[in-house]
This record gives sequence, C-alpha cells and structure tokens, in this order.
Amino acid sequence: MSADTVLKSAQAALLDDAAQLAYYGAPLPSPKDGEITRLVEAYRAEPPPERLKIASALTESQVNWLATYAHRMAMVSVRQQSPDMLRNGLAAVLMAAKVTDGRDATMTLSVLYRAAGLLGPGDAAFQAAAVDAPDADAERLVLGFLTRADAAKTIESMGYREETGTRGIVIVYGRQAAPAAW
Amino acid sequence: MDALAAAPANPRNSALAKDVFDSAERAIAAPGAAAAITTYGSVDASSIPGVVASFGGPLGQPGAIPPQFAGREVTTVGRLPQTGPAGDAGERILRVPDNSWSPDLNALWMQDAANRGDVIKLATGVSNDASSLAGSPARGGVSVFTRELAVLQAAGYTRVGDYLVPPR
Repeated sequence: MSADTVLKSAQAALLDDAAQLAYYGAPLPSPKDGEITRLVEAYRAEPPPERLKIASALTESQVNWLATYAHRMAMVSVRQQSPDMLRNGLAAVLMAAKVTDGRDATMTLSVLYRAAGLLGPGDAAFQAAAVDAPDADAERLVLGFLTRADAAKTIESMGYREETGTRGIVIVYGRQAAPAAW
Repeated sequence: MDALAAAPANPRNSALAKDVFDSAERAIAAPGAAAAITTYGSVDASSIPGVVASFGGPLGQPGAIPPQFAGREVTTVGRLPQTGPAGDAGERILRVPDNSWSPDLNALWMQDAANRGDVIKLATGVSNDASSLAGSPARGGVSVFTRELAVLQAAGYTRVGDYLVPPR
C-alpha cells in the first residue's frame, strides 16, 4: 500500500464532525473502530518517509478523528487486556502529530498512559510505540511524555476523570457525561 | 508536532519558558486565577459559536493596534504550529519544555496576559467554519487554542484586525 492509498482510506474512514460525535459515543468497540484500526495499521506498515507524507497531509478534522480513536482504544485496550489496541491508539497519536497542536496531543497521551499503566507495560508501551513516529519531533512527543513528573502524567492533571461503568473502564473529559453506550 | 520546545535548551527557549512560569506565578497571586482555570477547563463545543462571534475571521484583516494600546506588551496566541515560528522570530509566545506544559499553566499564562492588558496577536485565524477551534469530542470538542480564546473572551477582549485588544 502507498501513502496515497492510505490517505484515500483516511478520507473514506474519517468523516465529518457530526459523524465523529456519533463515533465518540458508540459502543466500545464499534465497527468504526475496526475500520480506523485498519487505517492505522496500514500507516504503521509504511516506511518512515511515507509515514511522514501521510501524517503531513491529514486535515485538522481527520486528526481529531484519530484523537477520538486513540481515546477509545485506551479504554478498549484495558477492557480487552489488549496491548495491540493500546499500540494502535499510540500510533494514531503519532499519525496525527504533524498537524495536531502538541498540547492537545499531550492530553490524549495522558489517557493512553493511564491505560498502559493498567495493562502493565507502562513506560515500555510508549517506548515501543515510538518506532511508529513519522519523524523525530513526533517521536519526541511520545517519549517526552515519559519525562514528566508522575503527577503531570495523570489524566486528572489534564482534566479527565475515570469511572468504572457496567462494561468496564470509562474515561471522560471535564464534566461531560459518559456516553450511554460505553 | 511543532513541539512546545522542540529544540534542545537554548537561550531563547529558556527565556520564553521563564516568562511563562513567571506569568503563572503572577496570575496565581492576582484575582481571577481560579476563574480562568475554570473557564479554560469548561469550554466545550457549545462555546465555539460565541468565540467565533467575538473573534471570528481569518488572518489578514485590516486594522492596527489602536493608539490607546500603543506600548502594551504584545502576546501572540494560536495553535503551536503557527506560534512556533512567531516565537522563533522574537514574539512573546507560550513555549515551555514538553514535560512542563499543563492546562492550568496555560490558563494562568493567558489570564496574566489579560490581567496586564496585553494586546493579543493572533497567529492562527479564527475560522468561521470552526476548523481551527473544534477538537476531538474526547477532549471536550475544542482545541487548546479555543480554551485560550475563551479566557480572553471572558476578560472582555475584542478583535481589531489581527489583534485582540483589552477592554481598557
């Protein structure tokens, strides 16, 4: 698969903002998660120059979709005890890193870091995922997160809260209610 | 990403980081700190139309800094990929080491600029279609840039050209 093919897949999978809101609140996991997982895995399979081409061509709306996916994968990975889902969530952050404001990305990394801690690998999950970065700046984004003080890595420090729902872990931002389907 | 401070330590980055931390200390000691943190954290997608109404429009609009604000400190805000080059060119921006940024620090830095009556220079347009303002629903539906603008909106700022000016 080429970078152009991956970008076409991104256009097909990452739709408008209204659809993203529905995706955010969909059951964990959902068929859309599977579609985006295939997209992220295709990105990961590309060599670094192609990954950079893909990451640089995404729109702001598309990188927001990837952030939503990453957030969902943090929860799915814990519920299913799946390091692969966590890895794909981290890859989505890296895929989005060239367009995303690093401050926004840092918020999402706190959620993934919480999942990494619950799953067990902790820092090692971030270190392993860094190879999926499109360039050195993006790699530094993920590895740099590990150098934060412990209190500054928490989801609470970034404005999130964690709950235990009937289906498992739930992490939501601010005062938002957790989607009923979660 | 355009890192918060992508380059290794250098005098420019160190000076900008010290400025940010000093700003936060001033803000904590002044009225409005708690309110700014609350405003910053509670912004969501429903806030976007109001932010667009206050500050909307692309960059490149006519209008200079009004004379009554001449000599004020000018602070540049926007999305990091746009503020980074402005900071490198000498403008006052938020730039701290990656591992030091936090939402509270960001809110306090913005509130300090409002407390001082800084003129704000936009490095990122405030798109009427909200593309520069919207964020992942998992992050409250807005970008960090929107949160900064919300703090300025609460402080009574208005847009003049590519600047946001304080109420007095």
